[in-house]
Amino acid sequence: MACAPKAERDAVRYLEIGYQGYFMCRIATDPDPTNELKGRSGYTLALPGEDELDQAIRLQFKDTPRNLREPAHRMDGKEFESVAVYSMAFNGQALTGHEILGAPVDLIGTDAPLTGPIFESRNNIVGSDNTMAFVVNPFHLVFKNGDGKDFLHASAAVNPANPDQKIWEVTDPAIYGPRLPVGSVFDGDDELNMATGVFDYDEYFRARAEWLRLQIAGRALEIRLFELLQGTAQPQDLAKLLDEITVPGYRAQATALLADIRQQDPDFAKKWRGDILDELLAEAELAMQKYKTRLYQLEFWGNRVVSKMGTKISWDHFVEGDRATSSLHDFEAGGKTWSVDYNQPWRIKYWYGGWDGDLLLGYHRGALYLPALPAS
Amino acid sequence: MADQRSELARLLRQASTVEHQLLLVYLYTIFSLKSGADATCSAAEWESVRRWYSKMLMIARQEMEHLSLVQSMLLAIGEKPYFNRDNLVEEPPIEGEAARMVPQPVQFPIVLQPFNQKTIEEYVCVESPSYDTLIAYNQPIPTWCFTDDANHDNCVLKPFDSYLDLGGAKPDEEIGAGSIEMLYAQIRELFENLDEDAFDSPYSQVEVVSEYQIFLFPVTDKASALAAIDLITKQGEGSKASHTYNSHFRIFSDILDELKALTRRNPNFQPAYPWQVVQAASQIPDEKTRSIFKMLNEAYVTLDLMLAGFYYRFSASSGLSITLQQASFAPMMTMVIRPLFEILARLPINGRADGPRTGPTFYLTPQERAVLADPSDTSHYDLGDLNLYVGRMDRLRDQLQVLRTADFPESVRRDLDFMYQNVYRLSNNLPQIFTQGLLPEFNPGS
Repeated sequence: MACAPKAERDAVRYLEIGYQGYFMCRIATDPDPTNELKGRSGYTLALPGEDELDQAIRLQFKDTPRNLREPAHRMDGKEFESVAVYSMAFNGQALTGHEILGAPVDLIGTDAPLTGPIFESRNNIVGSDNTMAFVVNPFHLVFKNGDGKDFLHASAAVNPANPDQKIWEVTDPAIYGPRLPVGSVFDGDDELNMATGVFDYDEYFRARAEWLRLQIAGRALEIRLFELLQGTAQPQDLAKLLDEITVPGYRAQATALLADIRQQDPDFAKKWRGDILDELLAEAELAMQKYKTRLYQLEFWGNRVVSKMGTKISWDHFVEGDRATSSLHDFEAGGKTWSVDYNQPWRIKYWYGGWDGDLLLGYHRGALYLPALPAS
Repeated sequence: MADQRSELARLLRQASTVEHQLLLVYLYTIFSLKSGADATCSAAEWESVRRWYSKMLMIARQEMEHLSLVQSMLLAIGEKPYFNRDNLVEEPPIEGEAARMVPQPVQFPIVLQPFNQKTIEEYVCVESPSYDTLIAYNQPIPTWCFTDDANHDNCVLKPFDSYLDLGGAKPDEEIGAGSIEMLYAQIRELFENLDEDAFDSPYSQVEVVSEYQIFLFPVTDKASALAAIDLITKQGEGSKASHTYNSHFRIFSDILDELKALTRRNPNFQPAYPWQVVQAASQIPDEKTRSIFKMLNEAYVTLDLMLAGFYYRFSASSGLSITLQQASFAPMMTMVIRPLFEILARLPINGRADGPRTGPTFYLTPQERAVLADPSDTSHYDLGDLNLYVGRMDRLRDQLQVLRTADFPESVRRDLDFMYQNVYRLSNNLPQIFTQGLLPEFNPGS
C-alpha cells in the first residue's frame, strides 16, 4: 500500500489569501491629542462637509464619498481602489480563477470610546509614535462575498490569555509585543513604490501643492466675479486680478468670463443679485479656505508629510482568536480536497504605508495563511 | 568671575520665568479660540481660526523649547534647573471671599486673557524686537508698541521694578517691545565673557526629542550656549533673521492683520468663546466645570513637578529619568493637559449654554514654588521619589473615574472616558518603566 513519507504527511500546508488596496484613516496626528476631532495642530484635518476625525482604519471607504477629497484619484489617473482579495495560493501554487478573488476585505470592531480599529499609540501611552510601534486594535479581519455576507473571519486579542482585556488595561506592553510591528521602512522600497505608483515623494506633494494653488486661484476669481456682480467690487478690480493670475489656464478663463460680463446686457448683474449670489459667494469662500488650509498644512509640515509616502510599517503575527470560514472550509487544490485546520494558529502578515496625509489615504497589503489538512 | 557667573544665573532664572509665563498665557489665549464654526464664526472664517490655532500652538511649543534651553544653560554652568515663576493670579481666597476678588496687577503684559485684537496686539509687542532692530531688519513697525496710548495700556512700557530686571544697566529703560531681546543680549554678553572652565558642571544635560518645530540640543560649552541664545531670539523676535523669517513677532503680526481684515468684512465675527478670566475656582458657579478647573490646575502642577524632577539630576541610565522622560512630554502635555484645557473651554462657568467659558489659573502654592525654585528642597516634595508622581497620577485617575460618568454633555463624557483610560495606563506605566525600563520596540535608540 502506497504511503507518503511521514515528513511529507506532517508538513504544514498553507492556503495563502493575498489582499491589497487603499485604506482611509481619518487619524489625528501629533501634536493633536489622539481623539482630536477637527485637526488643529497636527497635519491631518477634518474639513467642513466631511466626517470628523475618528482614527478608524477603513479598508472599505467608498461608502462615504464626502470624505474622498479632490483630486480623488492617483497621480496616474487610476482610482483609489479599496482593499480586496487579489491572490490565492496553496502550498506555493497559485490558485487562479477562484471565486473569492476580488472579494472585499474589511477590519471591524471598535475600541470604545473610539469607533473603529485604530493604530494604537495614544501619544506614547500604549505604543510609540517615535518608533511607529502601533498595535492594530481591535484586529478582526473580515472577507465578504459578492452579496456582502462574511465568509471568512480572523481575529486576534491584545492579550490572548485574557481576550477581554483592553489595551489600556495591560500593565506590561511585552504582553502584546507579538502584535507590534516587525519592520519599518522610512524612505520607501520597491514594493511600496510599485503599489502606489509614486516614486518621487517630493514631486508628488509639489504637484499637489500646485494643484491646490490652482484651485485657490480659481476660487479667488469666482469670489471677485460674484463681488463684482454684487456691486461690491469694481470692473477694474477684476482686471487687476487678471494681472495677478499666473496659474496656467486660469488667466484665459478669467479673461473669457470678464468678456462675458462686459457683453451682457446691463440687467445681467441684477439677475444674479440677491440670496443666490450670497450663497455662491459663501460657497466659493468656503471652498477657497478649505484649499488654503490644505496648502497651509503641506507647507507648514513639509517633510513630515512628504516622508510618510515612503513609510511602510509591517506586522507578522498569529490570529488565534475567533476564526471562522464558510466557503473556504473545504477547498480543492492539486486534485485533492483540503480542510482548513482550526487546531493550529493562523498567521497573518501585512503592511500599511504610502500614507498621503492630505487625502488621508494609504496603501495596505496583507496575506492570511490558513493551515490545511487533507480532507478526511 | 564668581560675580559674573552669579549674575548670569540670575538673568537665566529671569529668562526662565519669562518663557514659562509666556507659554502659559499663550496657551490660555489659544484655547479660548472656538473649536468649530457657529453663528458668529462661519465655516470659512473658522478655517482662519484653525490656522491661527496651529501657528500659535507652534509658538507655545517653541516657548517650551526656550524654557528647556534656558534650563540647559543653567545646568551647563552648574546651576540647578529653575521652574519657579510668579503667579498669574493672586493667591486664591478662601471660599466665600470670591466677591471681593479683583484681578491683581501683574508685571509686563503677561496676563491671562482670551483671544481678541487687543490680546494679539500685546503679543506683537511682547515678541517685538527693539525699534532699532525693526528698522535694521526691515520688519513691519507695530507703532502701538511704541506709543503711550491709553488704548494699549498693557503695551505701555513699564519700569524695571517688576520681575524683569536687567540689573539696572539702563535705569530709565522701560519694559516693552525689545525687552526680551535685551535680556538675552545681556545673557549673551555674559556667556561670551565666561571662561570655558565655568562649564565644568556636575549636572548632565537632558535628552529630549527634537520634533514639531522644536530644536533642542545639549548646552555644554560657550559655543552651544551662544547657539541656544541665538535660536531663542531668532524664533521669538526674528533677530538676525531674514525679513521673510516667520518669527513669533511676524506670526502674531500676520494673525493680527488677518483678524482685522475678517472683522472689517464681518463686524459680527467672533473667533473666541465668550470668556471670563477667573482668579480662583470659587468664581466658577457650576460645580462640574469647577471640578474640571481644579483637576486641570492640579495636572499642570504635576507636569511642572515632573519637568523639574526630569531636568534635575538627569541620567540616561536612571530609571526615574527614563520614566519622567516618557511621561512628561507627549502623553502628559498632549493627552492630559491639553484635552482637559479644551474640555474646560467647552463648559460654561455658570452651566448655561450661552454662559462664558474660562481657563485655568496655573496657580502655584508657596510650597510648589519653593521646590520648583530649588528641586533639591525636599521639605514639601521629594522630586527624586517616584511615588510623588504615581500618587498624583493615581489621584487624577480616580477623579476622572468619577467624572466620566457625571452629567456632562455626551461629547465631554466621551472625552473624559478616553482620558480616564489613558491616565489609568499612564499611572501604571510609571512604575512599569521605572522597574522594567522602556520596551525596546518603543525606544528610538534601540
